[in-house]
Amino acid sequence: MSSALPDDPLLESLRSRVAEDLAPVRPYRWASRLVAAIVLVALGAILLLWMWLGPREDIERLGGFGAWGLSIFQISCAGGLLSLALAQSLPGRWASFGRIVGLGALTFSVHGWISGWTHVASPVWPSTGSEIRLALFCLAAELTLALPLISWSLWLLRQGMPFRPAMLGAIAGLGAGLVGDAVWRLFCPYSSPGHVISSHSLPILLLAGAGALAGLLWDRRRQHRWRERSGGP
Amino acid sequence: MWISDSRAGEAFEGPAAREMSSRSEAADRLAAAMASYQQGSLEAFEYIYGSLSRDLRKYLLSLTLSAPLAEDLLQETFLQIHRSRGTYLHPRPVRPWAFGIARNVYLMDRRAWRRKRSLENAGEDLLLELGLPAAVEKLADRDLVRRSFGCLSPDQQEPLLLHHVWGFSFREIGGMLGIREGTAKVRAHRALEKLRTLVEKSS
Repeated sequence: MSSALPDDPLLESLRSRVAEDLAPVRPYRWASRLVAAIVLVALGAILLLWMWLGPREDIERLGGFGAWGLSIFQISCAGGLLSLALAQSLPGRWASFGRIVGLGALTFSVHGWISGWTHVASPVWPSTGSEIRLALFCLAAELTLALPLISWSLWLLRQGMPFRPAMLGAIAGLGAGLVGDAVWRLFCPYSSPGHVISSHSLPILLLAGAGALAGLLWDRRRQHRWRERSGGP
Repeated sequence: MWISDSRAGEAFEGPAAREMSSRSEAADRLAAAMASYQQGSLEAFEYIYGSLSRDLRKYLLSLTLSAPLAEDLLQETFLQIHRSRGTYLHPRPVRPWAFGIARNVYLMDRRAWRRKRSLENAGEDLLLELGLPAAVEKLADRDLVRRSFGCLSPDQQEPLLLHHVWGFSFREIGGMLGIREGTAKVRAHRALEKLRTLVEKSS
């Protein structure tokens, strides 16, 4: 049964183009790919870091909840945020700007809350003279941990049709950064506000900025290809 | 045969219920066609084109107010539908997905060429082609209603048309426009009220 219109030149043109590339496609099941990526990255990183550095010195003082529980909670929140970003690449299901920004801010505040709780439970300051070195080390560690996830998320976003690429890139960067931070906090014992803000919160925000920039550049390139393809107004 | 001709149950009464039932069946057939299309069926693509092209053309016409541009964007919309067919998740409704792609195509074109939308350049024929809610068309003569429609902002026109002409729910409209469901409802309501006021004033 077909309800195609007869003698439609547009349909004729489309038919030949579509027929050239009609291989079966798998539906864009991003959720399972995302969960797999988060679990793989987090577990792999924890294993490697455990063997290299060992856990943070005060892990027993924090207890199972303070260490593992809160990290798993932060990873779950970040996973939710990444899911939201990827859902926005599916046409017709775009959330409002306010909702996305609100959820992003709320999820980032989870990091603040967890960092504050950790400092109250086990306050540890970097030794004098080593603040900058430790800050750079933690900054580099978090950025490295988040890199596979932000790359994967941005790649997945590109497979779809994102409505607001720059904002979604920022959300993807934020989510990836939060996962990286959740893993790294199992190994970094320093909880002072100065250290946390400069070495743990800052990389998350930098990743959000990098994601936004990636989204913006991708959108510009998309517009440029559009102009080339369509030939002119 | 990938399209089922089986009839639904017989528990329907009244024209409204029958209309809902036939719309639901049409939506199910379209979803089945999309699934077949994803598996590589050209016949399914033709069915989808036949089911959606008329409405998508009118939608793009209402966005662009230019018949030649709407035709170009319609072709691009179906090419994007083809490229993005993996982003359709069965058995979700196909129409909001397709209209979302059309809107994205329109926005891409507008941003790429910095086009401005103007009702003044729209011809009389184009104005006649634009569908308007039946409740509004009854208010005055067609030309007056359409001129008044042009006074609405694009943000008001879209939810009005999408709900009252093409029958999308406000939730679906929110997903297509990237706004909250409540916002879509308010904009459509205010658009209808403003249109009534404009038509009554002009009359």
